[in-house]
Amino acid sequence: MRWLHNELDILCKENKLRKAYVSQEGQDSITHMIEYVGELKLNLFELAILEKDLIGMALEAEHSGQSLASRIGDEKEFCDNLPHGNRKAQMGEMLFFHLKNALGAGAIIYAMLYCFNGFQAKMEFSVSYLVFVLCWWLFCSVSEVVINSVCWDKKRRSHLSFAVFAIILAIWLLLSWNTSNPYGVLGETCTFYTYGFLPMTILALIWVTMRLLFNAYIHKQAKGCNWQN
Amino acid sequence: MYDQAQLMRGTLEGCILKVISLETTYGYEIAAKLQQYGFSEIKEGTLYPLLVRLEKKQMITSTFCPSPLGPSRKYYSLTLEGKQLLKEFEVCWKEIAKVVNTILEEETK
Repeated sequence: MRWLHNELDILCKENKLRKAYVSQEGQDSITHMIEYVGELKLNLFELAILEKDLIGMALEAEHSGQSLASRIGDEKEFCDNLPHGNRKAQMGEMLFFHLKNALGAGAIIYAMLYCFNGFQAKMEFSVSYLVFVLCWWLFCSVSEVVINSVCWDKKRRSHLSFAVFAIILAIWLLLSWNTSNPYGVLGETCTFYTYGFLPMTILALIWVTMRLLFNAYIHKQAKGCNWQN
Repeated sequence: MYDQAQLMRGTLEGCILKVISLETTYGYEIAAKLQQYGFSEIKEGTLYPLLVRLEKKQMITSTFCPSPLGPSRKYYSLTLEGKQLLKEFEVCWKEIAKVVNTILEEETK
C-alpha cells in the first residue's frame, strides 16, 4: 500500500516520534504555534517543515539547558513574522479535507444503512437520511472550534464548517417542511433504489482518486524543499 | 527614543547572507555570530522567518545534517543568486553608509 503514502505522512510520522523527546512545555508551545500558523499562513507541507524545525530548535535548546521560548522569544511575534504561504494551495487543501471528511462520513453512514438493511441487493434511499450528514457536520464544526479555541487570536477561527452545517440545515428544513409527513415534503418523491454495492464502490473510487491526486500534489511540493535528513 | 530595531531590520538580511557566505552554518550559530558582532537583541526566532523568506526566494538553500548534540540541524548555504544579492547589498550599503556619514559629519562640524 505504499502508493497510498506521501512525503507529508513520512514527515508527520517523523515529527511525532521526535516530538516525544521534547519537554511537555516545549511540546505545548510547538502545538500552540502550529495551530496558530496553520489557521492562515502556511500550507500543510510547509507546516510540517516548520514543526520539524521547531522540534529541532527545542531539542537543541533543551540539550544545552535552555528552553524553546528562550530561543525564539515571543511565540506570537515569531508566528506573525513568518512569510505567508500560497493562498490558492491553502484553499485547495481545505476543500480537499472537507471533501474527504464528507466522503468518509458518506461511506460510514452508507455502510451502516447497508448493514442494518441486511445487505440487500437493492437499497432504498430517502432524503431523510440527510439527518446523518447534518449530525456529522455538526460534529466537525464543534471539533474545529474546540481545536481552534486554543489559539491566541480567536477571531481567526475558521467558520467554514459552520457555514456548511448551516447550508445542510437549511436544505434539511426545506425538504422536511411538512409536519404530517415524517420523511418531509419531498421525502417520498426523493426516495430511489440502487444496487447495494454500487454507492460504496463509487465512494471508494472517488476516495482513491482523491488520495492519488493529493499524493501527486504533496510530491510536487516536497520536490522543492529539503526536508529529509 | 530612536527605534534601533527598525534600522537593523533592513540590514539584517544582508548580514545573514554575509555570515552564511563565510561558511555553511545553522540558525543558532548565525544568531550567536550576529550577537558577537553587536546585534545584541537577535535570537534564533528573529532569524528563522528571515531564513524562510530567503530560502523561498532561493537566495539560500538548506540541508538537514546530524549534529554532535544529537538532533539534526538545518544547515544553510548560499546559492548563486544569494551571492549576487550579497554583492549588491555590499555595494548599496557602502554607498548609503558613505552618504549618511558625510551628512552626520557635516552636522558635527
